[in-house]
Amino acid sequence: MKSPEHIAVVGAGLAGLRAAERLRELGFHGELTIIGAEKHKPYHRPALSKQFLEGGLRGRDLMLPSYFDLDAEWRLGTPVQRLDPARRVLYLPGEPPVRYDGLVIATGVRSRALPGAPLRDPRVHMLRTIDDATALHRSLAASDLPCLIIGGGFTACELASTLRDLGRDVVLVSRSKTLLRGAFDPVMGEAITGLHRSKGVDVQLGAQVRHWAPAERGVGAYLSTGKFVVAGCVVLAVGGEPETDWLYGAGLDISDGVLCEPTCHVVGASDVVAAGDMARWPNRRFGSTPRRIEHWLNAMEMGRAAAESLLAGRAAAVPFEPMPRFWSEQYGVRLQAAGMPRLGRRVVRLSGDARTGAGVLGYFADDLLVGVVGRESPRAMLHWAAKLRASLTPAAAAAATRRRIWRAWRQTTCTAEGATA
Amino acid sequence: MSLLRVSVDNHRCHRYAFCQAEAPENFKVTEDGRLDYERRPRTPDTDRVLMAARSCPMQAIHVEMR
Repeated sequence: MKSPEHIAVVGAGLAGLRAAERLRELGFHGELTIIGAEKHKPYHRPALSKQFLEGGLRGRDLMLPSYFDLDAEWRLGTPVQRLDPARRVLYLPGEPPVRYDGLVIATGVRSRALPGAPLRDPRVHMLRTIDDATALHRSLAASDLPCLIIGGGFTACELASTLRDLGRDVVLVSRSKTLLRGAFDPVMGEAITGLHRSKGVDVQLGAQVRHWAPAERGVGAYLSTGKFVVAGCVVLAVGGEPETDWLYGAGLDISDGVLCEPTCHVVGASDVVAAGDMARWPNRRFGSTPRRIEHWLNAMEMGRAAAESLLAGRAAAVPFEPMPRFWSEQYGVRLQAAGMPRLGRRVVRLSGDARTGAGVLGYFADDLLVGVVGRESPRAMLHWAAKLRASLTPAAAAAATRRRIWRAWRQTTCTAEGATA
Repeated sequence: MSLLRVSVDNHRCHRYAFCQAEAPENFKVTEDGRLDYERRPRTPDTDRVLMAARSCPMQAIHVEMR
């Protein structure tokens, strides 16, 4: 890209911030506009379900720093309405259109609304933004009744852990057979389920809410398991969906997030890159299938990579090929992962026993190590993440593709030979 | 030349060791689970130290550039 005069960043979350910071770090001296739908500057979302609700950290403790002067114009509380990539124009509500030479798209995901749930009831919440967390905090203070959490992913599990630490009764309802089924294999999922039950969470699996019955005293919920819960507050934590409505009509592929090339350049547009939870791109360490990665570290790394690609231009940009990593903490138990465990078909114990205590599990597709999961093993995870980075190269992945070892992304059945041995 | 000053909030830090992956010369989780770190990193380490701070899941690393 030839020295752009104006770069716009749409999305003021982690990916947008790190993209803007990287632009300045690389010497971009032009005008920089950061447009965010929320009224807050970028903050540390992962703490919302944990330290923020516990009261250990407040809003101002969560602000994310930039280590380079952004010298940006912030347009906060401003959801972009429409993009015209051919004319390089963004349309904002009630304001003149914004022209750009380069564009970073990083609008992330929003919480999915559970169909049929009484979303307008003030005791029914989702947990994505700091405003969501503040409202939930208020709801928790207003009633001693149990908190009903719908969902079995990381947000649901971390929230259950926080609420138990606060001494609250928790009913956790998930359609899956084990918790964290999307991220781990069933054996590790069962271990986590057991952890929650041992801490007093009423975990209802293979279950859903049949009928909602909001009443004055609490929100009633009839579960498919026959149980009836009267909750003081309800949290719907059933995943996210890419924030791409504003891209309708822009001629881009937004079937699941916005489709990108290996370099983060958005397919079908010029001088547009995307980063973070809503970007779908082929990470060539895992073959040629474009995927979205909803990990915090990925948003940070991809924001930086997207900025590099934007300034380099399509022809000179290098592919973004990270080794994905994530973490979660529940009841003081630290879980970490590297690679893509859910692409594995076979689980092997690499050290210790992660089902009961400290240990590392390896996930193999054919004979290729594609992911590792560690429990209370940060030092061992350093070793295994580095090993993955060295062995699972784009070349190794391409060879694996020819042998057709990659499994479908959503498929989660896993044998656990090593782990059950 | 800018001088780096690093401090880690011990209450926030949960010793995931992501910082060590980014800047092994400056951050190290010890065998007994403590974090050892360089309070005054050398200038050539600046980029790695900043990446360590950005990567911290607890945002426990404070970096000052003078």
